Amino acid sequence: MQYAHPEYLVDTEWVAENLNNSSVRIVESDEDALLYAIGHIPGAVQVDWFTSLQNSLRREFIGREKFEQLCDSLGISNDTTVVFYGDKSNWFACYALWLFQYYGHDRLRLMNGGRQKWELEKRPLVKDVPTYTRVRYITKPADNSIRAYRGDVFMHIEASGMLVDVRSPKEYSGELLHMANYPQEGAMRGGHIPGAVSIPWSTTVNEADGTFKAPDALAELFEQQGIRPEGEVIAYCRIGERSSLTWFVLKFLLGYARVKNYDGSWTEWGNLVDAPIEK
Amino acid sequence: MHDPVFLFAEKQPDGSLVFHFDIPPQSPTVRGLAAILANGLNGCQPAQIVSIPADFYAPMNLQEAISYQRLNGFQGVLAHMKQAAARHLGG
Repeated sequence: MQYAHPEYLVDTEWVAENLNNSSVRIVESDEDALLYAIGHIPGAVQVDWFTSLQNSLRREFIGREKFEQLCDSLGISNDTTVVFYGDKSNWFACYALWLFQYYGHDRLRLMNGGRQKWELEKRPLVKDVPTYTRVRYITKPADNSIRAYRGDVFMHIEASGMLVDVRSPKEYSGELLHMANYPQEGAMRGGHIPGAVSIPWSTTVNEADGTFKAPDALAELFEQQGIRPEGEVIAYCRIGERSSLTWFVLKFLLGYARVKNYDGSWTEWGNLVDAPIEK
Repeated sequence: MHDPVFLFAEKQPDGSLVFHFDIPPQSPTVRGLAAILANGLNGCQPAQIVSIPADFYAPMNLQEAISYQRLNGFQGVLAHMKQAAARHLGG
């Protein structure tokens, strides 16, 4: 068995060979945004999920105009192959990639294993921040087929649709409101969305180097829990970053046709008055 | 998972405290925040440390640079430091 869309995944060797390829832009997106400053892949630019991708007024992503300005400033044109990588097995790299898909970018890649694998292989990290010639990027209309809002989730529950909770087991059970060792803030109630199955994001990656598990192992993992390629799947976590990784797995590695990331996730659902919760 | 923050408060002859941290290099933001706190509070008396307000970061406008979650982590590090200082109060 092969990954369904292997072109979305590149390995560290491919990135190392394409550092000077002008049609490729390498983008680092981390949970800890300072990692870029202390050393990044030569030529890579940074997209910080918090300061680059969020609307500063309402809880929403940047709009099309700001997204275009961001791409312009990073020298990303509509034809650029954009390769994302980051810390924590690529959580926020997947989050940024998902947002680029949302705005219709065609050539998206993820570096398998992210920073972890690049560092393990003792490949070069530099502090120089590159500048690229500004370009003129044009977004497509936002693609809501990959994004679930709370209203979609309510309808999905009514229709007994497939829901994947990718948080840690104790967040799913409601024992914790956040991962262990993180501040326990962000939601008034613990538990999970009714009908959601627990498939922690960590079960999709190899702990040793942060790469994705083999295609057959991934297929078995989801199908055993009733998450099948037919029909629509919604994945969620706490703020939508870990579920971006699972969205990537389902959409591109397993080839599920209809997969949405519920970016509101538990920090929205666990605070919604009267929303149903299971424990 | 986040790597845990280890800290140790070393009491000086004059009763003031000096903080030592052990935070992994994969978490530079937490290391930076801990360094800001240590820079400001090393050499202070325990009573001064426990009186630092939890929202001390607001005048620095840190809330515009880092996420709500990280601010909580920042406050968490300060809370640990205050707990360590409280153990040296009156002694």
